[in-house]
Amino acid sequence: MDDNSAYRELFFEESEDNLQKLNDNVLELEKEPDNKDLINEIFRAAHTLKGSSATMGYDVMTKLTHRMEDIFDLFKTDKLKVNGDHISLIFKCLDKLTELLNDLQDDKELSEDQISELITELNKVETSATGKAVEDTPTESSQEAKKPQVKLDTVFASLEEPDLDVVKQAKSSGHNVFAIAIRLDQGTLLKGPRVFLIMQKLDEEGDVVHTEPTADLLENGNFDTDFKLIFVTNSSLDEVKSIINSSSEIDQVIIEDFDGEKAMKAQEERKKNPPTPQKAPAKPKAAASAKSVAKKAKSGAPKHETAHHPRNQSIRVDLGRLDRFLNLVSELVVYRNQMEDSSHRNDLDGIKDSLEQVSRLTSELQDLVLRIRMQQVSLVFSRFPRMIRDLSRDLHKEMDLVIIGEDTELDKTVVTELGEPLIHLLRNSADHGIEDPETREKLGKPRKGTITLSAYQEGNQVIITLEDDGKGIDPQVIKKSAEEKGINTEGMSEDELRLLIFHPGFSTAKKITNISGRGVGLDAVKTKITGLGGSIEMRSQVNVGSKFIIKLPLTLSIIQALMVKIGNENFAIPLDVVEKVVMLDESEIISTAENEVYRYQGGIIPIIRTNELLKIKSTAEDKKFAIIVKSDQQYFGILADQLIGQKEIVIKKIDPVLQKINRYQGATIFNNGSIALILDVNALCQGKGKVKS
Amino acid sequence: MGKKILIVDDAVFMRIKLKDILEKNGYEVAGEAQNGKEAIEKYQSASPDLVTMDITMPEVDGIQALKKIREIDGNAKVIMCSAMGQQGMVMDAIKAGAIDFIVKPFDTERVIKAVDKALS
Repeated sequence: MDDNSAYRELFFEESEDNLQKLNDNVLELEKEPDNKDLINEIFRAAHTLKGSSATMGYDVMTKLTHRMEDIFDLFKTDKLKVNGDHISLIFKCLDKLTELLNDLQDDKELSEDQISELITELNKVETSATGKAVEDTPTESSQEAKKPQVKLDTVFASLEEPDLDVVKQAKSSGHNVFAIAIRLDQGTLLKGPRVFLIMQKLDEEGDVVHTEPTADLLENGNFDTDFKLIFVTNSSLDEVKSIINSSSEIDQVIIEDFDGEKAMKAQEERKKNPPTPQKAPAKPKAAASAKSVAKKAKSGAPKHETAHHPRNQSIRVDLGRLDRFLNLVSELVVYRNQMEDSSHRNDLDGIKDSLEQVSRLTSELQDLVLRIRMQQVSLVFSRFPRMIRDLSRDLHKEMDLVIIGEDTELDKTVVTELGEPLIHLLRNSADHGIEDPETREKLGKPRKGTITLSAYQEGNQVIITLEDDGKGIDPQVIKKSAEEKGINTEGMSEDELRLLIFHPGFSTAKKITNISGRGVGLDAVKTKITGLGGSIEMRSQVNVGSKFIIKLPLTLSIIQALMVKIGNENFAIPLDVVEKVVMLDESEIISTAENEVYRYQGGIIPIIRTNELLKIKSTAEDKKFAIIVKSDQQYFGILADQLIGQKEIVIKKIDPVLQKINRYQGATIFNNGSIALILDVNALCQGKGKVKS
Repeated sequence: MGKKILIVDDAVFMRIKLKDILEKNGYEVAGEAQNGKEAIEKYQSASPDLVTMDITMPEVDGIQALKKIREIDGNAKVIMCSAMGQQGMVMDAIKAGAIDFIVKPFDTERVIKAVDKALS
């Protein structure tokens, strides 16, 4: 087998595409089981997967795709009607293929056990359609393990008188008659067509009057590697030889003048003394050992190369953007050269001019790089229709998923991280939100529930909403459940009650289903979203439905921030959470029993003394700035001693240990090289919130 | 000068693999097509010495493309690329004038032997 490591990345990329295509199309197929174009497309995708994995030498994957292709072929030829069970089975296979691909990417060896269950199921389906038991197609390697071969010769075994008559006649009218024996290469695939090809070529130059084995067996490929024939032609022996040799995968050819009487004698002789296999068949052995060496090389050598190479993350970039990138960089080079030139001449104005261009270009480049990192949310959304389909089957509910705005773009990291929380929310909606058809009918709703997932950009944010028309979240149910769990709900408004669902360990599901788990979910969802710098809100109305609104920053690495000083230290506060900045006097801060609060817009909001929290000595005595921020639909006042101003900052990651203290999102570097930490407003405020409750 | 070959396959992976095999063995790849329609166009524009033609492809499949190409050029040399389980289609292709066929998974030796023979 060839060394295929160079094609690995490509193989994975294309296979993933094909799997996604299959997923989408199979989903479609369930809705339109008679759509032939769709079936053809599915067949092609499966076929390509099979071909590629076989070429890579991934036998287990090849086997599974081969069997799947068989099923699609039954659909194609109308031998099998598409039904829900078949679709489910195919989906299981697709999931398995994804798993196999992942394993391969992690350099794990695949084993037949991984697919044996599915193969059995596929066999059942196939048997039910064809009425024939499916023979376990022997893998090629088992065919290769051949018994030692006899020497190839032109001695026939089933010549009969009529054959000889034909030969005699042909000879008398001046034709050449040849006895031909052909041995195909060991391990030749599709032997039937191979023979057919040779016969076809011979037929153009003469007549094949006798074959061994019979023509039927030959065309079905039902023979080992050798076959013999008698050929009547006007061509010379050399011409016949070159005709035969123009086909590939032929190991050996013997062509002799055919003599009827001799042939009959040899045939008699052969019947008495059947040939014994040669003791040392040179060729097959050499081939076999070469093969085993190759196999060893395959399993051994590439492993060393690939064992520790981590899974590459790749991203597809629109060529237009890449071209623009190149243009900008070449422009940058031009101005750098100008700048060099100016500096040699001590031309300060020249330097300033070029510098201006350079700064324009860098900000364009920055913008562009961010855009290159952007990915469409369809990357994650595309797998949801399939999920909802499975869920509605499992839960015996009827529902549709409507997706809007799947071309909305977000930073690659955000897009990849988004899958998990969205899956969770979708499952929740399907499991707890949408009612069963009967209940829905009683409520005057359509039997089929609808879940709408939409994404759109709004300023520097992307808003993702997930809405269902299910039973909604009843604050009273939450209240009861919360009280059972010992959570004090006194004085909570309905909205506050609903927010409880985001609290750790809270679940309203009466029984635990394996769909949406045990209610460790929503707080995890929230943590994930806030971790991505976003926020999540929920609105709900009993028997009308629930709506989750997720707001995410367009990009993670560069943000607008408000720079402040606390004591003598610089800090950055992400601008998107800042509502307003007010100046306040120490006397305006009111102390309640357990909290310090400030009057803001007719209400009171908690005050966070950052200097105490962060253990920094404050410099301002009584005049302070309160940065009013919104976190979790509530206002907080964060105190700062001094304002520096608004600035675009690049977020740098900080050490995970520092991240654990839950105060900082990251750090940024100032022009003068000094460092400012970025406050994690949500963590600061939620810490405060907990003190309150 | 190496002989010119046109590669036709809908999978990029297969095209690249074949291209590498052919180029490493001194052949020139005159072009690539990802379906039968493109194959017919490129056959006329690139006039290759040989075509490797996948069977299962979108738009126009390999057998239709083979027939069309043989109509345009009666001497066109086309090798079919097939997979296990496509006996019938390979036979059709041979009837339509394919000079040889190779079976996936591709193995350098087999591909080169078939191509060498076809071009000799």
